[in-house]
Amino acid sequence: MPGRLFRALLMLLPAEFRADYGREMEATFRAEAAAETRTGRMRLWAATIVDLARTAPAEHLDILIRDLRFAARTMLRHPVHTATALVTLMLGIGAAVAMFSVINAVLLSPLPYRDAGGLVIVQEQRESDEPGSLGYLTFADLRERARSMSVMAAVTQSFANLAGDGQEPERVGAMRVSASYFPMIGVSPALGRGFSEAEDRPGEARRVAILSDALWRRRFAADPSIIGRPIAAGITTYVVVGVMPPGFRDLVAGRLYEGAEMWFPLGYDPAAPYACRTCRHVRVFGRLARGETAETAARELSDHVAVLADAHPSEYDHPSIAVRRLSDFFLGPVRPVLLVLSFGVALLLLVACGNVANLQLLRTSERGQEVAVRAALGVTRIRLGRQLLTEALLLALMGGALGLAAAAACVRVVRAIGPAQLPRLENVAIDPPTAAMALACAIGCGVVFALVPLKHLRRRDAAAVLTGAGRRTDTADTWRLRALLVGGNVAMAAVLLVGAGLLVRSTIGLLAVEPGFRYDHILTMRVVLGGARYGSGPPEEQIRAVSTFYARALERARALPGVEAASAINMLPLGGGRDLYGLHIAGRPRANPEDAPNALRFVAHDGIFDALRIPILTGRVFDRRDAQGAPLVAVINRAAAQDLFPGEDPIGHQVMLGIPSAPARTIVGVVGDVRHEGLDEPPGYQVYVPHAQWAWAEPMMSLVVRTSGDPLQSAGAVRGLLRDLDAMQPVTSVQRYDSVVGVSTATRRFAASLLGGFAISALTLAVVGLYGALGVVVRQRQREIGIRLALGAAAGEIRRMVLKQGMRPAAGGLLLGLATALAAAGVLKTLLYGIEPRDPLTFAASTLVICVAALLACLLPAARAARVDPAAAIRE
Amino acid sequence: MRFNASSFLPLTPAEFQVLVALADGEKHGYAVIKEVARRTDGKVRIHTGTLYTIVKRFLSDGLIVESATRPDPALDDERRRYYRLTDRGRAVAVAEADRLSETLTQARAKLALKRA
Repeated sequence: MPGRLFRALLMLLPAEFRADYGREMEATFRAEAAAETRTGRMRLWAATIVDLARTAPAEHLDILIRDLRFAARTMLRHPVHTATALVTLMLGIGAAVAMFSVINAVLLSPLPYRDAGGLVIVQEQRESDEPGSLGYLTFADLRERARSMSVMAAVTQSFANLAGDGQEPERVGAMRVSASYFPMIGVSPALGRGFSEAEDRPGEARRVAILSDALWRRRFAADPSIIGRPIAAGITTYVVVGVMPPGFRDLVAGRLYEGAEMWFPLGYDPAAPYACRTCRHVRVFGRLARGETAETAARELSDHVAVLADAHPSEYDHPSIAVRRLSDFFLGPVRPVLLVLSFGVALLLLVACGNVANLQLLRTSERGQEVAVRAALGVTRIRLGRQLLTEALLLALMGGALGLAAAAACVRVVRAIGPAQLPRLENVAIDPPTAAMALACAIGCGVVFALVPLKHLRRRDAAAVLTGAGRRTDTADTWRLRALLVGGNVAMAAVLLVGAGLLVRSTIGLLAVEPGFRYDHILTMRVVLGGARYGSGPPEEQIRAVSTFYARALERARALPGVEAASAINMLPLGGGRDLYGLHIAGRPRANPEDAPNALRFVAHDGIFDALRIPILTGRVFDRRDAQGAPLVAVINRAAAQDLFPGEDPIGHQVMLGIPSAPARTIVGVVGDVRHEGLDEPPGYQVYVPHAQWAWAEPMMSLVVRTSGDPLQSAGAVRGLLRDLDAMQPVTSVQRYDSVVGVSTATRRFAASLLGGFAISALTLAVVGLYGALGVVVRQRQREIGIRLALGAAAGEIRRMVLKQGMRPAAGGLLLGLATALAAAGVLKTLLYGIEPRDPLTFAASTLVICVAALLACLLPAARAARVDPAAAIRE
Repeated sequence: MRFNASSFLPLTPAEFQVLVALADGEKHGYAVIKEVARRTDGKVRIHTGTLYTIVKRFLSDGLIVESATRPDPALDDERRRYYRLTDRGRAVAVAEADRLSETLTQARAKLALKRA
């Protein structure tokens, strides 16, 4: 028993040490114990345990240092091998770590709110539309009745033109929020206070504002005395009551309100026309009450809204309420893309691992003699294994460090060029979890590299290797393993290639979709008019002031050299925004006006169809006749004309926008359909109204300036003329129209190019792996090939033999990869446009690419084999 | 390369005691432990872990060697190995003794000065 206990204690020491001194130590300890009394033996045990616990780590460290030195020397002796392995690892680990950092920042890290899991968005689901915003009165009624929500808050868009303080005018995005908004999200201002209920009511009390930390620093020099001070924003003066904490990045503001940096109280008057139930522009958020889920809340709120629909039948369209967790709402749309990319990067990492394992295997078989000598000299298998593991781990850790550096560079690129649709892209960084991921990847790879060659370090092979008799067995054995690795790599590369092929083809198809307008050679910029000149007085005066400003600006812009056409529109097609109005046809009343179809409403100046090259199909488009006070006109798109006026001429018919009692507008023209919500979204119905004839002043418009040369060349001149007209008005989003459209397809292009990159890398690695493995086989079979040639085999036969040997694992891998891709293609369905996940052309093209690549990889070793000199090979 | 005994200094007390224990002839591990304990009246006790890490290092540095001669088989335990001090080992032990002696002399001189 004491002997067994002592031997167990000796397990603390390295195996090598145990092998050398274990038995002797046991004998010594026994002799010591025998000479002691009972108490003395107890003391001896305690002292020996302490002694071994102290000396064992030093022994392990000693061996580790020796192994590391040996590994470093070995790596330096084979610089090409080492560099290849390191570059491969850098690629695999770098891509994996960069992808993980994106996933971590975008999907895994918690939303910037307290108990974010309980936060939901509440949307009205109408029969004819997707879930969307609510009318203010619906929100007010639901808030009063909801038991499944502990708190609800409404949000609408706003903005502030900060000017007149001696600094450059600046348009700042803002949100109007219920007083309950900040308590609901659980974030309080760092300076000052939040909004009170009294401020969330109509009247002067609601002229208060909370600033973001960034705005406070940028515009107000981080002055703490800002609290309680009035600031002018357009024609309104707000008293600052709070400044949000520095790290607070409101996702609602960032994703839905153009990165709003100011918050005002909502303070809606329920009697105001814009508070109506059909004025669906209020976004509603809530916190689930304890024990409630999104589903139970949706059921409860749907019951309430059904009661409201009964009470106000003409203001609802078979409504129900959709409740979604905020994390699902924001992150749900990007989850499939990121998961597909993670899967892709995991495959790439596996291919990289497979390749390095193959390289290590090659090194092990080349080192067979050295290893056999060491084994014959009594170095145990465990000791050899430990040495190999140290070498592999050193290589992997160096690869991991390089990978981390590569990932850091990738992260910078992703942050700079990543699609704007990816939320929280700005948070993507190499942080401790990411570094841990790199370390885990590296250690995982290292263990794999060590395990594969270790299999070939059986002691019984030592004698065979030493005498050379085992060469054939060894070759056949390692070739099987190497072929397996090569086949696996080809399989994974095939899966990636098919996936990337599908995404690339889908993106090409999407980019080829006719948007219905031309966006080349166009400069766009956004102007938001603020100040007493445009925002005070009766509505007619405001409309006149605003539309006249734009009309003058456009007139001057058209006179600029290089400008072919210029106009202004409230929403740039494909530029985001969604302004839907019920489309009512005069003389065709509906029992429930809410059943009327929805149309996108564009408010534009004359010349918009020319500037955007939207084809005019019948009738006319706006011109100077359609001024304020002139008969109201509208232009509709082809889809609306065909569906709503089948078999008749829509020209001359009258339509009302929003509600049946709205002013009637005569249709004067039909234009082509324009894709607005995305190239992959159907155009739907569209109505264009002259700016001067809209029901209220639209202060925020985008200028559209078509130029003969580079659009950005004209930006300075256009900005200058706007400044001449009114220097107090901020101009934002100055860009080429193609970059606006680029944003709408950015996620797909991002996914396609990343997966494409992974696929090309994986294919390159797989092919290089195949080439390397086959090259080694040819070298090892040189003698046999020489004998075959000497016995009369033709060079062609030898070539075929080698080709067959190389192509067999490649073909097996290809078949496996295609089968996997076929089975898994379904997951890409939501990311594809215009092609099926099992698109035969993509599969065929991928097969062809892999076959050609594999063939090329085999041809060189095959040619080398055919050129073997029989005499020299036999002599060797 | 010339052997430089001082490059091994300073030795740990346990290392020094092991070298000294082997100075008067070859011994196995248990005998070294016993000898150290005897010579220091039990004040210094070396345990198996420390002893054999020292033995391993001294063997690889050439300060001791394993002895080929073994006692009468009737008295021998085949698991035991006997170690003998080499000339290098002796030189290192002497150098360490000189170093300790020098240290002692200096310390005594300084303390005597203070007392005076």
